[in-house]
Amino acid sequence: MSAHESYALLERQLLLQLGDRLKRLREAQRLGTVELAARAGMTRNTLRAVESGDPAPSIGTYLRVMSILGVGGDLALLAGDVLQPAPAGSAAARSRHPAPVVQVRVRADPTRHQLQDLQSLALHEEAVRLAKADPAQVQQAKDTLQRWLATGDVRSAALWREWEDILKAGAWRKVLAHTRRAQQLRQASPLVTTLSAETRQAILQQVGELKEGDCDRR
Amino acid sequence: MTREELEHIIRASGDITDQYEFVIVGSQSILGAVPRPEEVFTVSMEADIYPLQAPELADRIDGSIGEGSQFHETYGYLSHPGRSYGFL
Repeated sequence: MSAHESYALLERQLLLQLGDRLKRLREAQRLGTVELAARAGMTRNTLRAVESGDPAPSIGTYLRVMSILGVGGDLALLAGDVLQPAPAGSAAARSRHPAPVVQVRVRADPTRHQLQDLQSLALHEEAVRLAKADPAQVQQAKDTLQRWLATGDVRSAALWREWEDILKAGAWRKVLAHTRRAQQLRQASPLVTTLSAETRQAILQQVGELKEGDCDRR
Repeated sequence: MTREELEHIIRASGDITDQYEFVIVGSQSILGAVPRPEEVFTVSMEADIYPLQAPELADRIDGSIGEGSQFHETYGYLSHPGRSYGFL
């Protein structure tokens, strides 16, 4: 597995964690999404993307939200040389002060099964990518869904019927969102069963490495 | 998930791990004490499970009968590793 693949999931987790943190900060300051979006000069959709840890918004967009919430200074850690050694020849490199030891830990909140959710999201992102490229994948998911519905099990029927609409319309954002409903949909998903065993295993392995802390960066 | 479906997952988990005692956590744990709860408690199609004596084997269960597995595709329900995660 390449280093890029190994860290892809870690990067996803970091953004999800950042988005969560910013949302909690906003709520703690009793700011509504309308007010914060207006103060940051962005739409509510963009703010929602930031709070969902979406990789699409620019770092400048993230920084605007962080600044208004009073945590813009955290980026100074990245802008400075605390986390990485200063370039050779720079004033910081010539300093006689000992370099600070910084340890970054990525933590999954056990009460929210965060890693399991991340695994589910990663599986669905890959399944959606393949479904967009190959309609046969969508048909396979539809067939599985019909078989599940034919069992007459009414408990998950509401979610499965919603999946029928999603597969028909290709409404993938509904299942990739960082919302409770999207999470529920992913938990009743026929789409994820279309992944090959190898693809699925590769994603599980990445999550396994996160669980073991292989991605701990110091 | 029904009691029968949970029992199916426990039997499959036993085959996968060669363990005989399992802990069910989360919403589906109600099926142990109340085999026929009201429907609202059985909407979830996931059981969070790990072997009592070997919790580290939970990931093996996830790999075999977890999300996106052949088991999931066949039956429409699945297991999740129920073990809590610590620091990574």
